[in-house]
Amino acid sequence: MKRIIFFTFIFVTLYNINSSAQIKTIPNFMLEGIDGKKYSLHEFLKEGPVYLCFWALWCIPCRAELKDLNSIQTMYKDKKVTILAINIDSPKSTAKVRSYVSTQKFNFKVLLDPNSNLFETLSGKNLPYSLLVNQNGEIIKTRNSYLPGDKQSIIEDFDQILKSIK
Amino acid sequence: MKIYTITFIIFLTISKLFSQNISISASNQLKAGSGYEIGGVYLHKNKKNYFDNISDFRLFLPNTAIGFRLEYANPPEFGLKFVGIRDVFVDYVKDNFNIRAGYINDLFARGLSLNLFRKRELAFDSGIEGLRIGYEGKFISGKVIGGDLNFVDPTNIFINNPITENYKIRGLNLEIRPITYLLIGGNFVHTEGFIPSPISTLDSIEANIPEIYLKSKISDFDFFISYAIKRTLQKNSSTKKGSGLYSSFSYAGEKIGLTIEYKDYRFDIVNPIKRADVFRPTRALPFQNPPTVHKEHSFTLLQRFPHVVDFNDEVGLQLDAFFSITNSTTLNTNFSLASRHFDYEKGLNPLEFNQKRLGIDWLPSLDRKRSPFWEIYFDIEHFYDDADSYVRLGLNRRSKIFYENLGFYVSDLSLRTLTLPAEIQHRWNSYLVTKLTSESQWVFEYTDDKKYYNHLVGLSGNLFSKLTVGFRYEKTTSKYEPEGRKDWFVVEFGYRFGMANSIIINYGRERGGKVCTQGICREILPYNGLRLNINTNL
Repeated sequence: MKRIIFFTFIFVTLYNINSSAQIKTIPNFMLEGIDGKKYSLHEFLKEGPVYLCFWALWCIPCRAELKDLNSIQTMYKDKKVTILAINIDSPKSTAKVRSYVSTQKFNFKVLLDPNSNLFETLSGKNLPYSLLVNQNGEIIKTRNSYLPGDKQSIIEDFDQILKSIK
Repeated sequence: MKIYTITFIIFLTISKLFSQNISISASNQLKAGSGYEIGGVYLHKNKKNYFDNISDFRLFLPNTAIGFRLEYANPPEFGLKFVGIRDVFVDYVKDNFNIRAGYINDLFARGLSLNLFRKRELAFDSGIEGLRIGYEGKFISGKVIGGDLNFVDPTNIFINNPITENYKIRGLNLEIRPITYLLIGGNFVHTEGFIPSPISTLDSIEANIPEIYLKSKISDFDFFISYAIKRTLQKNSSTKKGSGLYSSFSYAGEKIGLTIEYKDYRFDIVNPIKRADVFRPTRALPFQNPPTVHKEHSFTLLQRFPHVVDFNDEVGLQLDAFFSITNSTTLNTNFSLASRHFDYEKGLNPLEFNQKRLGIDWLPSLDRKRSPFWEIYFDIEHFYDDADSYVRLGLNRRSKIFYENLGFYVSDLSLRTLTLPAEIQHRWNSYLVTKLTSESQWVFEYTDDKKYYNHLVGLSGNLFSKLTVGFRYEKTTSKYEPEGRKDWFVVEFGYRFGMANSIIINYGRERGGKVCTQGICREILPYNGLRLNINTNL
């Protein structure tokens, strides 16, 4: 009986949070890039919306997403959308991340979150995990998987967010 | 029940009162299963039902994040039963300062002295309850951290009274960047711990772990080196000293990316009898977790027969390279080699051992008395114009020898594997994508003259980027499986609602075995039955 009450409570609460349609604002963070420099989210938000994509070397769907993001970044290079690929490989792989990224010629920034601190703060549980944040720091979309065909929906999200800026 | 109600009411009241400045985020993960596992001394079928529900709540105020986890793991999938609230934290960031109170995961350098993290799938959690204050400047940055860790080793969670180790941890990290190309850092970690060993009577320890590291980046070259010393003090016992060294060098060019890593972990080099006591208080402590310096794989059969890193006594190196053959084709090669530092020869009485040098102790050796491990791996990946279609082919050769001289007998277990994995994904039209996986593995346990073959085939289809249906079949010619079985199969069904909610149901027989991530290993028992996973993000 206790279990039923407990889960009813959780689902009612989750529903309440969802139905209140609150705007979710992302807190600022500072992470090191693979170029050794420190970056804060606010710096990028000054330019426009930001797409945060958490990934790891061992995660195959993440690598497919990065490939797609590379071509999306090219499509939107003159628009003010920033793609940030945040690597959450543990320290065991940190050294390899830079060599992988350079050979893939990614044209977006790659940041490091080696103990998944930011990933967990932003409620990430599984990879791939991504968030689309508008210029006011509000989370517009959350994605907790990357399935074939998702590239088109990212493009649609970008178009929509850019339209709202105009 | 009261505590949940009160917490939710406070949480929702705050959010309603300050709704202009506050936002709430919640995510939920439910894992449930019903079936049976094959395990125990007599390899009996044991009923296995589990129900794990984790709800993470986050409240974001300007510059502040507040969060907690509501967990109902009763009975859990792995790990210990828990029902209640945990991982409560408050995180405040303002300009270059950050303060976090409550549950903390953190990392100093590459983890030789401190690496606090959680791997739920391995029932491993070295996160602490405490306080961290940090500063991130252009030329100088640092942090202080303090808190308590109650740690349960994943290898002993299945015993009736799991052993809990308690540590009070205090740490300091400082980094200075005198010039653009150079960063010099230092850490100091002090701990007072209680390790209730079933063998040793000396269970209270005090340890100091100073560490120094250097990071340099010039053009396309990166260099990192770190050295830590661990001094363990025990009552009525002399101070025990150990050390760890890790270094990496990488080159990141347009066509080639190359990484060379080296490890020399000597946190507690002891003779085979002492080594058998995994709770010995002088060993590398659970919050020390440096790089493993060997590859971790994503193919299923390559995750079997993993190398278990001994952070107390292991020297090794790894070479990893990415070659960009064309814009869409990448070749990855990896070679790693590791071994113990010394051999131990039996003395005059059965409990006496003499350490014997075999070759250069700061380099890994292939001498079987130093328990060598080596692995060579190639993988080529080609993406078609659309990243939804790709081919990946791999080749892996692995060898490990576990040499143990316990005085009463010599155990020399040798294992070699050859694995050929392949994965092909193809987009047929705008709504259908299929994936075929095939993995072949030849296993030679040559001391016992065991030879067998494993094969895994998987086929899955994805429709409209929403629905996934898959099938996985595995067979073996091995006569040594704990349940005596020769084949396993799993059918899977997944559906995604929106972009952030998904349900996965799978049913079948799953093969067990050891799994390792980040040097943490756990034995997974064969499982037959149904599994349900529901992920929700709000």
